[in-house]
Amino acid sequence: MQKEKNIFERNPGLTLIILLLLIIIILDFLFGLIFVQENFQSFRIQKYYYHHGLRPNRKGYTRWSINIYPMITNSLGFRDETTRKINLKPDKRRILFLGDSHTEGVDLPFDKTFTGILASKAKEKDTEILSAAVVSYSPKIHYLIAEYLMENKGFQCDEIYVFIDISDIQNELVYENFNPGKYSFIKDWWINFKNFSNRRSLIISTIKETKDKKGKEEFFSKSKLFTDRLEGNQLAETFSTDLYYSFFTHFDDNVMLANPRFHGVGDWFYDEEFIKVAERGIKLGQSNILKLKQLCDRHNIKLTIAVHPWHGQITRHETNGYYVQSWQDFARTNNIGFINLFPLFINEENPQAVIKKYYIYNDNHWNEKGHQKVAGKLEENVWE
Amino acid sequence: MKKDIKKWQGNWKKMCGNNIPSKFLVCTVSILMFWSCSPRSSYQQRIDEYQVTPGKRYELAVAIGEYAHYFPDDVEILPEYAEILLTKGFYDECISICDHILERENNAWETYYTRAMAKSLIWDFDGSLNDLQIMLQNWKTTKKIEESQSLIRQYAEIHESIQILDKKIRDHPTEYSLYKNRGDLFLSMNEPVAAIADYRFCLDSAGFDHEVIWNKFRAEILNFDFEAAEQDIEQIRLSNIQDSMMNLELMSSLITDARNHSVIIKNDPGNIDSYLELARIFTFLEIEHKAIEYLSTALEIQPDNIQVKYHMAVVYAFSDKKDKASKILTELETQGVQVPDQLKKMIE
Repeated sequence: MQKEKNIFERNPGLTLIILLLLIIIILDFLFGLIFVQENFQSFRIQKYYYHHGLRPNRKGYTRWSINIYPMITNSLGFRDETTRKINLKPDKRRILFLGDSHTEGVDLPFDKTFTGILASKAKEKDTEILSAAVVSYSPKIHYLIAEYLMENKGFQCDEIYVFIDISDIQNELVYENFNPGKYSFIKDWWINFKNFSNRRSLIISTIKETKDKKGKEEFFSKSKLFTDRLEGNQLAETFSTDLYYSFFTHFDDNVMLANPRFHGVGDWFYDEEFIKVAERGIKLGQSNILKLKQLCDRHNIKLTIAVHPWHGQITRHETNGYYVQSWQDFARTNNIGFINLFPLFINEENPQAVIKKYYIYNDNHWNEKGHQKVAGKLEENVWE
Repeated sequence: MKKDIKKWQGNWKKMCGNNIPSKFLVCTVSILMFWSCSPRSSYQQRIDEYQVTPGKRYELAVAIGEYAHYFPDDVEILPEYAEILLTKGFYDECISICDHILERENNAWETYYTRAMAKSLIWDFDGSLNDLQIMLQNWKTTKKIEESQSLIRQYAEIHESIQILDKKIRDHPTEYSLYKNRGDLFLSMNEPVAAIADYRFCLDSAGFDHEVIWNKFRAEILNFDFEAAEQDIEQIRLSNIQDSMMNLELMSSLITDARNHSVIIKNDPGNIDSYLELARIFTFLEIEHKAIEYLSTALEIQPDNIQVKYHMAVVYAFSDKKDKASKILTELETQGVQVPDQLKKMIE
């Protein structure tokens, strides 16, 4: 009696194709392990629900401009002192900081950032301080990450501090078309798989690299960055420019993109052409903070917002200009806590001396001394 | 396996013969070949290349940062790289590399000097003086260290005065003369940008003041912002104020000369005449430290240039450093140079 053929014997062609594919995939990931180099930004990943974030439990190094500094994340993908598991339900008072690159603390190790300084002091105060801040976050992303953590993951905290600055008005416009829709586990898994493949598959990473290179070239030629001198804040020629490109994935206003002044967000309020755009950016930001406030109210969390200045505002000596006033009024109307960090940097001191002392050279971000100053001011508020 | 080893040994013998020098030569060539292909040497080549390529200042600093990250134990070359960062204006990065070197080798005395200079430039005067003190106590006493110590002490005192003025301004924010005084202090500290900020505030709030605008003009030239200096001239012209200090034609010619000679130096860093010319401009503007800086660079290029030495003596005489001026003039006289009596009288 003839032996019955199994599924592979019945389909030799298909078997061969599947086998070949499997071999290719295995070899691809194997070669990926050897040949795909991790770079200083590879811990920054796409997030389907809140646009972008940090890879959890990662211990490595990163770079903002020249200094290479340690970058460590905890199990939730928050910048931290060590890789550690964060319980969703805290066993003590927990404060969450949300913000952008200033709060992430670019160019400094975590313990030298204001959140790191406060986190280390918090241990004595029976409080836990976490920072979910990431470069180029703005109110919309603050709301989305908070919603993701609280409504989908069951994360709990007692207070949230949101750091807001003038770059948010541009980010809010850029993220206006970014809508993650309803939370879906499959979408979450898929983007994680994509992130993994980008790092580990030789074929996929090569395709991505080529695509990114082309995209960057197109973006920089379209936006005329580095070809025209921007009036006001010229984008610093640092590695952050690569990051800058990656945040425009959902922005398709080519006319705006091609206007060099669009990239000098620090000057929008002093530019007749851009003042309306700036106001729209503030409105979008405030509507997202309002959503965050409603979310906080649902979870019984106290919300505080803090505003801080850029170089342009310091040199113009604007302690209480339209920008600050607008956020202050908004906070008062909606019963949100408000911290104005402008007087900390705009006072009797010479503005250029302040910039030299507390900011990274030629950059709007705080240096070590700047972070110490901010931490000192926040201590008045955060400890109960 | 044994066969392979024997075969390899045979080839080795064939290649080198049986004498030690040829074996040594082959080993050296192999090591050099390996070295030239290693990432360490590739970084060093890149750093060397960026150093001589105009417009690659940022890439140079990045490459040095990466080198320090990947080869942290190379305390042989890192001090040199820290100095490059200092000269290119990357003070924080320079300090971070110096910290790194001194953590590994705490008797790298010259690195203390580099760090002291970088710290003084970010106004960490205590840290800077502390580093110099460590050098003086544990290493040796040199004129260079002592002179730097005295200059940094001077800057630290100016900085203290600035802090006193800050407090006064807090109490009397509308007393505009305080801003002018603070601007002058910043200018004497070689901080033209901060000085300009105070002068501008003064002019915007208190109106036209010929002394403030003249000092602002000096600060703009020191900052090489020639367009702003031209605007100052325009402002003076519009004010219709006649003042002997305000020779507008002379001011315009200073801008033109400073602009031209700084371009020449950029393209031809060995041009002694342009260094001399810029030194002359800054002497006229009473910014002697900048003039000395240019003359020192010129002397590094041509250490025996009599004209440069003579100018150096003149600048020292004007800036009340009579000892230094007298020393140079004596040296020049022994070389047969006739020193004008007027200058001799100045330093007596």
